[in-house]
Amino acid sequence: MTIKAHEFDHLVTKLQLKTRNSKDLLAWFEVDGKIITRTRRSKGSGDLPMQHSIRQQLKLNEQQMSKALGCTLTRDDYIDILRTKGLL
Amino acid sequence: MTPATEIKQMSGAPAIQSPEAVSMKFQELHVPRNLGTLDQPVVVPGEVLLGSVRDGRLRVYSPIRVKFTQEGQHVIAEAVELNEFGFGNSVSEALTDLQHAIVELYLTLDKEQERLGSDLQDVWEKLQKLIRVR
Repeated sequence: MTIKAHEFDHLVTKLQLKTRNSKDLLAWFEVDGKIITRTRRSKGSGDLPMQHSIRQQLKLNEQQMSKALGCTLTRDDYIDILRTKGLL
Repeated sequence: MTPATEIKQMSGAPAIQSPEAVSMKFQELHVPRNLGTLDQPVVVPGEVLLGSVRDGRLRVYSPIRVKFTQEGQHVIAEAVELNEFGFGNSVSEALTDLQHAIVELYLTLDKEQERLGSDLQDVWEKLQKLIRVR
């Protein structure tokens, strides 16, 4: 399953991921100064064939990923998900 | 009866085969049946062991298991134990992308060691067993 570059960027904004430009766009999620999850996307505006991999790196299940892409998952919701998984 | 068969029968040793027969066996054993065409992409390998990340700063000490999958026209290479991936239009491109991602991951986690959450701490420990600075 693919993810569009703009969808990824929207996810980054919505969850307030920090980013750094390298060969790829690197993105990571911080809570209280700790880096909890990280992911990346290739530069360019096309479809990225790795929604599954990005989802795994962000520790989301398919339903949660759909919510995140559909803009109904907030940063607080994401923190709750990570806390439930014992990552916080 | 061919000369080779004659030799086997006379000596009891394995028959020496003609060059044509040897060539045919070589083709059967070593040439993939599907090399791919313009319409049909080359079949990707299931898994390989990666022994280099193509970066002068880092050395792979223990091979990294890489699993390949295909999504449409793209090939995805995934280092399962590191939860890292690369992609491209071919196996080679995907592997190169993955190697770059692993280098980036190593250098980032090395730099941020003090700030890693439990999951990334786990990834960092795995990385250190597989890769070291030269």
